[in-house]
Amino acid sequence: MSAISGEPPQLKETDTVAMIKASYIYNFAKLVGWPESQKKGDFQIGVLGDPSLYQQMITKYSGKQIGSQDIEIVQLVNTEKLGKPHILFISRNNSEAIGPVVKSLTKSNTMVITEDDKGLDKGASLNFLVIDNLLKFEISETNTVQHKLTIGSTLKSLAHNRGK
Amino acid sequence: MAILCATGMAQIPEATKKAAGLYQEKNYTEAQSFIDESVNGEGASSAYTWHVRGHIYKELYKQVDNFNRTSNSRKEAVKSFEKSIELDSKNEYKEWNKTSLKYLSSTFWNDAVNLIENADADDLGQAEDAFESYKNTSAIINKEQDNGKISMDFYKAYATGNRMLIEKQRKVGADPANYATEFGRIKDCYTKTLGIDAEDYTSNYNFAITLYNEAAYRIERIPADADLTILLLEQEGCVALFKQALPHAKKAYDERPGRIEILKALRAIYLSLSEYELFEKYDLLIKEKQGEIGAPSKPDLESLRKTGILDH
Repeated sequence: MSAISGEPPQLKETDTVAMIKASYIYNFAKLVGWPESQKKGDFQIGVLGDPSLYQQMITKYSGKQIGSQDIEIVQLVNTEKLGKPHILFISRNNSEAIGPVVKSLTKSNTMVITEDDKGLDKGASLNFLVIDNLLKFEISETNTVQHKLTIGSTLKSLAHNRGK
Repeated sequence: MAILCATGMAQIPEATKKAAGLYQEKNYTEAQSFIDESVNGEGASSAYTWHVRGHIYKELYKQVDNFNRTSNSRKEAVKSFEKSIELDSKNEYKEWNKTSLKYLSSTFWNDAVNLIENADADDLGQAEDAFESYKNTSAIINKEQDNGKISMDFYKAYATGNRMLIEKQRKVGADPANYATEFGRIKDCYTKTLGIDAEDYTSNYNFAITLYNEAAYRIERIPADADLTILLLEQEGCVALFKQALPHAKKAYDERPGRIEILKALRAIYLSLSEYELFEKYDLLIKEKQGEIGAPSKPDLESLRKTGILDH
């Protein structure tokens, strides 16, 4: 009788959460209303920390557009040269920077996205949270309005929480 | 193989004698019509006649059907040897019948193996039928036979064959719906092997990886411009798969905690479930194992325990 054997499957280890986060961020960019002044030049998305997310953003969204603006992904290693991106994502490892960063961007039309239990309290417009192992998001209309941004109805309806 | 001579040739039906003679002359097709005539008449309750019939059909399977796996002659051969055993109250042909049945059972097994090794999408599903035929034929020889070990081997290999097909499809970016049958078969395979031995490391590990890889592939396939509704739906489906993978990965870890492959699997699953503390725990264990960092000193271990990271 012939012998029979089965080769074990190889783990295809990937950061699936980063992939989902990247898709969320792209959708946020599409579903938020930006002031006219922000509709020129490249559409900048800054990623503070989380190199895996940065890589996913580059892989999937570099070369795509928001409206007529080319997406430019910027990896930030610290808070010194943040610039004024359209979107700034702050990873959970950099949560202590949320307060100071939000303060420094008070007058800019930047949507700050965090992944911290108190992200919205600290001034973020959107915050990722994990509910039953699912990555969801909550929004703060108050914080968003402060940056002269408007959140579309789709985003509002799909948010897990709508803070003030 | 020569047919065993019958005792008391006088009682042997003429058609059986004729068929046996034609068999010796290797004229199997002619022999077939005589032996069928015999079993439908005088030879119906003759153990010898059924024994001869088994041999004739066995040769038809080999010489005429050329070992074709769908050969009806092989099925008839098995049926005939079984019938001969049933009628053989004096056990005159028993061992000969059993030897032939053992041979035929091995051909079913070999078919199953070949189908798996060729892993062809059109007929891989027949491997399970071949394996069932192998078991049924073996059971005629030994009703008490324990098929646990061989079932484990078969279903693990069958799962591998199906996985190969899936991997081919994934290489061209196929929609998971295109390989749903194969994926379902893999799940069935490991459900069966774990039904035999719930602690089996390979089954638990392979099942966990299969579920994880499927979910990861589905996430990778999410189109760049997928809207939020699709994203949420896909995510729910994939997280469900990650959750299904976790208990199997944990079980595999319990069996062989020192294996780096299972540490990596747990790290990947916990990350995908956004269980960051547990992700970090296994990440640390992997790095230690790979010598990327030194083993934590005692105070470090103590502080990790205080945080609960090492409590698992």
